[in-house]
Amino acid sequence: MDRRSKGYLMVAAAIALVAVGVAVWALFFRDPSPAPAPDIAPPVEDNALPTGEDDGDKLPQAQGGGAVNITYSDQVAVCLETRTVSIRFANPARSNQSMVVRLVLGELVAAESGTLPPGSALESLPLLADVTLPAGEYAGAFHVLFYDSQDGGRAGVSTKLPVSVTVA
Amino acid sequence: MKKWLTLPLAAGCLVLLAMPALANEGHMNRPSDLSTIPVKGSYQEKLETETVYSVDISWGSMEFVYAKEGTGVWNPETHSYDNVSGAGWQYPAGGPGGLAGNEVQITNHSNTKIVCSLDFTTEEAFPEIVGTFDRPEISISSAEGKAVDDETLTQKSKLNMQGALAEQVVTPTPIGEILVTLQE
Repeated sequence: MDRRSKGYLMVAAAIALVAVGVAVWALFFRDPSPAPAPDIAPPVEDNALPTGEDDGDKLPQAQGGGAVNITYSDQVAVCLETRTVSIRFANPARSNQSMVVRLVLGELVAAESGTLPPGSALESLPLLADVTLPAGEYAGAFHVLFYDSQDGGRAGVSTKLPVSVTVA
Repeated sequence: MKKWLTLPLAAGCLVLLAMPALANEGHMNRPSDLSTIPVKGSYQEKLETETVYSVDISWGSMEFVYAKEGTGVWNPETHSYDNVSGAGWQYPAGGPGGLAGNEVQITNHSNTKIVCSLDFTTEEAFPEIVGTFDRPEISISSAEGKAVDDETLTQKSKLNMQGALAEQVVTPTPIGEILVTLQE
């Protein structure tokens, strides 16, 4: 083997070693903490449904502040066969902020919605692709993030709502 | 040959015409043959109703100003300075009926009692700053049987800041976040 070929071989071997190292790190050593909340509102949730309310008064809001109503059920069902999370969650029209809902089980983010504008509700979400859950009952939470409906900027206030999750 | 087949075929058609009548499980062919459908009833002290959570969360501007020396906050509605004080943290005062800049308000419209905890987490870039609520836990009774605007269903808490902010931070910069948690 000539010198040039040997050089190419060594470079290829080095690249392969780096790739294996990254894979091992990602599989066994990566920090499992949840992804940070997006600072700008993501696209509108595909599964969002209109709440069907008449246009009414908004909640009173201090200048520069925010005001929301959250209406929800604390019972959540996960179907492993369809990988679907069934929830009942609404951001009524009287809210002044859009919302993003995360279903959290401990440190695991099992599902995350797109943006729910005021006047929208959510009944189902897909499980995130890399989530595996054994069947059973879990204590989880909705972590709800708020975003300005005009500029999409994230508010400095969020809320956590405990829920009971049944996985079957 | 065809004539011999005619009679049996006609008889077969007549039998087929009678099939739908035989499909009735109750065999209600005669007025006296009446099928019965049982109807049941039972007594319960109270029907179980589902818990529906509905909570209003409102917050002020949360724009604090740290003043090294005494100052006040100009209020254009009153043409005077609010929060005139010595060095420290200032925030916009609330307008008539509105929230002050450091207030969080919670209203319970649920058919169950709620207990909320309020926490402030400082950004890593500002470890010297601490934020605490004067009421870190708020308990509000169920809205069942109460008017929508019942004042007892609304509670407030104020965020107070301690610690100094570096003088290089001259534009409004995120220094922390508020988390409102409903307890189980």
